[in-house]
Amino acid sequence: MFYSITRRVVEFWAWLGGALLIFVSAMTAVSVLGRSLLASPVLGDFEITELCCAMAIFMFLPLAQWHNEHTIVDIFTQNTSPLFKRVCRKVGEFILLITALVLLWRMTLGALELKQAGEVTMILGLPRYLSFPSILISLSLLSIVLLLQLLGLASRGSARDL
Amino acid sequence: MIVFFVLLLLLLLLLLRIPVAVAMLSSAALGFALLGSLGHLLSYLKTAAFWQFSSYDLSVVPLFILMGQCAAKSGLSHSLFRAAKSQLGHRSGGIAMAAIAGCGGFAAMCGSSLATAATMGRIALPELRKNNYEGGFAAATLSIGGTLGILIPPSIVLVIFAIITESNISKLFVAALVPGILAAFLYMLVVFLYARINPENAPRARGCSRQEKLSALVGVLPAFFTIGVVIGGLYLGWTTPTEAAAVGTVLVAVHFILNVRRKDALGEVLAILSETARASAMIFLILFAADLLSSFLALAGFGQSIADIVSSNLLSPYSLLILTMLLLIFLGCFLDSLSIVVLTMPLLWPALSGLDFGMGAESFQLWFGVLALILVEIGLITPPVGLNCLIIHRIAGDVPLRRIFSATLPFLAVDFFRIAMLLLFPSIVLYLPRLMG
Repeated sequence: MFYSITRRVVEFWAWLGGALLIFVSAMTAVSVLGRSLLASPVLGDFEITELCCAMAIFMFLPLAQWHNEHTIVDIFTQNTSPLFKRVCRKVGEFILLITALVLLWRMTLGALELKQAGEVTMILGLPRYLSFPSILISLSLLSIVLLLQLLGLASRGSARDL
Repeated sequence: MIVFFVLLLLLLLLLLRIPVAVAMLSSAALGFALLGSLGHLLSYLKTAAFWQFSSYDLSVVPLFILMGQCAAKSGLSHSLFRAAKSQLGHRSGGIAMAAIAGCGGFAAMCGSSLATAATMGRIALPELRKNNYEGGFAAATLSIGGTLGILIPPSIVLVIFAIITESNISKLFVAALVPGILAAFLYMLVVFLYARINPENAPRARGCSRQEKLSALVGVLPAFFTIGVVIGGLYLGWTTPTEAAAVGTVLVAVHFILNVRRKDALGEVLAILSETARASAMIFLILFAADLLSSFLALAGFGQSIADIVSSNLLSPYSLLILTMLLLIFLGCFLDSLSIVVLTMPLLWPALSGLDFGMGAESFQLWFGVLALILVEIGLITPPVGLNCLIIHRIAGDVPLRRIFSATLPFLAVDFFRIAMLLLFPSIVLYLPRLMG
């Protein structure tokens, strides 16, 4: 059950990220149109694009990991035993889990720092730390997916063979 | 010494089936530790990923991926192939030529070779088989047509190359345009000659009436309009690459909305979003890893030692260039295009950019970028990996992979001919970007 709930959440989270991208496209198109026809672009469109795209990418990560969309070099180990391949895969997942957890820890601190420093965007004055909650949630989801995969509970996808 | 050790570890991890991004991440982290700057790394990690992912230049990547996914589902790919077929189908080899033209057109809306091969493969392959085209030849045509995806702008790999080497993305896109179109024409030439030699393997199809031709041409207008806006906007400098991608996405989305069946709409949209997510996330993970690795290399003073080797004049510029090109082809035997660019450019570009080929620094950047792009694509259609051939092989179902690989050989020959042309006449690449000023 935990498996299917996680899958749903991860998928839904990626769709939300995708919705951000759609929003960015529409806003940018309006901005380009406004700029060329009325000489009035959307104010701060670059900044909105930057923040939304960063959030979207983080929100995509758990789903991509769920489907194991990694590139691996396969040809030298094609004929090794399935056990060896499984061990290699677990090692990779373990390193990535550590990375995700370290990033979660460090980026939580990073968010606090940005907030304290009062980092805002140039034109609209949007506080940059506002994009961090979604990033931290994404990293948590990524860690959960990796944990499930390490425990062998969600290891359905196979890496793109290279 | 530490650098050498870290690069050795990276190689080892790659050979042990560790994903490219993970291998780069872990060797970079170990490198930082060995240099005694783990604290430096930890404080860097607080915001590094955020700043990198929120760079305006990179926002073009997920947007172009979204546009490509949308285009694949919107019926634009069908209309491109149908229009090309209506004009060429009655010639011998005509449907295969139409498939290449369709790939070329779709490539102008999609930045990935695999997506181009998969999309046009599903559309054109059944059509080719139905018309009694020989299986291996049909599959090879689509595998090679897929490589146009990365060459004809937009191109994800070219964006990544531009970011690593700090070049102008718009100019690189424009620079790749003529070599891309040249590629499409040379591939069609191969089809033409093949059909002359083996007419029974590439038969003529029934001709189209004038009315059918006209309706197919009208059907392709939205696709042409989209392509014109995207590439024209870039060429004329009206839009940044990100804006071009956004406008293109909106145009394709409008076409999608007009053509999708109501009851499928939500499911299709969600499928597009999932595919976009899956295709873009790992690109960024690799970029993040590459950024860490380059920071480590910079900290260890690697760039300087490379520059020292180059300035010692052991090798002439041209032999260094040829060596680099051979390396790129070699790596294509077991890595995908993006990984090759991300792994090699941070190491090699500092050395290459210092070489003198009798053209300006920016011109060299454009010329080399396009050459590198063509070289890393060769791995997609040659054994052992040959991802494009693999995808088409899966779509076809009954054509042996070996047969597809051998049928791509004539196309490969014109690829090498094209590389030689670009080496001898850099202005094929540089003419259009120079007009941009």
